[in-house]
Amino acid sequence: MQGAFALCPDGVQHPKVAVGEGVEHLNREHGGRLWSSVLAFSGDRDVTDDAVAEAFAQALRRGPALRDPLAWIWKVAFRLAAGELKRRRSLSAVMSDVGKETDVIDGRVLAAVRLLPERQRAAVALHYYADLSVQESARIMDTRPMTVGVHLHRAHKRLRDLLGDDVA
Amino acid sequence: MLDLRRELRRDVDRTQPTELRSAIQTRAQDAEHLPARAAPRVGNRRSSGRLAAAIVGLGLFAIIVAGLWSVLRSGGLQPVTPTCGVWTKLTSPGPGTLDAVDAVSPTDVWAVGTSPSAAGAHSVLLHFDGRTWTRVDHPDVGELVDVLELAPDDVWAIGTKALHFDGSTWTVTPLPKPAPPFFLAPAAISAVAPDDIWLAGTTATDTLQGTVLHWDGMTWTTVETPLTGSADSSNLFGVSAASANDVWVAGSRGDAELTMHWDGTTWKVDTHPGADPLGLFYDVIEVRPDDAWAVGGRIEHFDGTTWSVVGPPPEGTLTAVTAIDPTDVWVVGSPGLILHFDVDASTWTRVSSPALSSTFLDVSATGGEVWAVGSQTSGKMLLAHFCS
Repeated sequence: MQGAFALCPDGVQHPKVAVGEGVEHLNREHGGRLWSSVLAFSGDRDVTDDAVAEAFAQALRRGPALRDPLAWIWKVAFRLAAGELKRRRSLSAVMSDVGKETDVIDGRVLAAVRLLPERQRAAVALHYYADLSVQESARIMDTRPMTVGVHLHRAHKRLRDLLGDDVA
Repeated sequence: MLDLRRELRRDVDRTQPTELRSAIQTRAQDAEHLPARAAPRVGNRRSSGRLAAAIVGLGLFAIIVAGLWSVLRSGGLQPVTPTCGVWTKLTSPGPGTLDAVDAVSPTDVWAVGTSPSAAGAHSVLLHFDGRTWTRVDHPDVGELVDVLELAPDDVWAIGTKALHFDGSTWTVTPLPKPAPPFFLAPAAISAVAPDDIWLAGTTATDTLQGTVLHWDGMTWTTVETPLTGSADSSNLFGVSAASANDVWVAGSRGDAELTMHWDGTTWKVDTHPGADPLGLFYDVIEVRPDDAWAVGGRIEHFDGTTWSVVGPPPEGTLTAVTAIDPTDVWVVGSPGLILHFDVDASTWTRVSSPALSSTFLDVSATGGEVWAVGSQTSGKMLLAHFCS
């Protein structure tokens, strides 16, 4: 399967003034997959919409300062989603009816994944949903491949407990 | 037995991704192409085409003249004066991008950047000795975004880590940065003295925050600025340190151009004229305390009191500015933009460019020679030279 970091097919660097076209292209080609991967991570449609839109918008702002816009967008989208989830959790800890997740997606496995700690959830979303290698996942999560492996191993164990099934 | 990949995909793919195109555009506001402006002669792709066609003609003339000179020289005839006065593009050092150049003298120029490979990106470090450009061995940090020579035995190159050359070896100095998955994206350095160096960049955590770091001769430390802990999203792309009490940084805050000035005691955030087309500055340079330039979506000048816009908006984006003295200022950008400040007319003049559709990312000048670097649409590094 094609890795996450393939450039646009024409393989050219897009100058700042055409960066709108370059980012538009990335959105068309990769936006859906990124969106669904962030959804696999967050389980929440609103969080996903915000994080992915903001990541693409920031890429537009940074222009030629981005060497590898696609990788940057993946990183930032996951980071923003993680930040938003943390913010909502701390809000709901303080106020009972504020900060509740607004658009949570159903699904037995997805619900179990949402119970995992954040780093394990990210590793599962990147490796299992998006089909990225451990190396590529490590790059997006800004950590080492071995650490991603540890997260995946622990996630496996926990999901097996939660789903009451042998997990492949 | 549960197939995690299949089951997770099934759960997730039941939900159709949201169409985010207009949400992205709304958030980025003016980032798409050039802005809608009242004056039809700029920000209009058709007029860009006409201007570009005229510039191509001049560019070809420059190439022909330069070629003619080298033929005469190699033919052993009486050599004519070298065709200084036109920009020429050098053979590319290879695939990748050159992010920065530092011209110390006509026989001492550094350029840095990055080049791609199947295994990932490699940082690039090049040196020119007056005759040839050569690759310099150094610890690979993936990408280098700026370079600065204080002396032949005191050179800095900045990427995700700081590299320092002491005349014989390159050593790695860590930069203060947040824990993963967050990261620091350095952009530029400027030095007052070997133990007084300023670095501007952006830290990405839950938001983006413009970051200033300082080298005191021993370590890099984070400098508190009005951006520290601010709720606004901000970036810093340029820095110009004239003295310990006179430092400029430039970038963006929210959707607006940002410059801040350090006077040794406090940071002052400047106001800039409204209606800025891009919402950021990529570079800033101080010539004198009452004479500074900032470039990005437009060119602005500081006269000691206020910032004002100079000249009509460029047909593109400006990425770097350098000044030899108040009357000799160069600006480069994209696509293929090279501008020179005309002291008599007090205006900026567009100079014929040897690389019309490419992106210039930096420019540096010394002793009558000017170097500009960037990337070409072919994916190759761009290296161009001018002598006056």
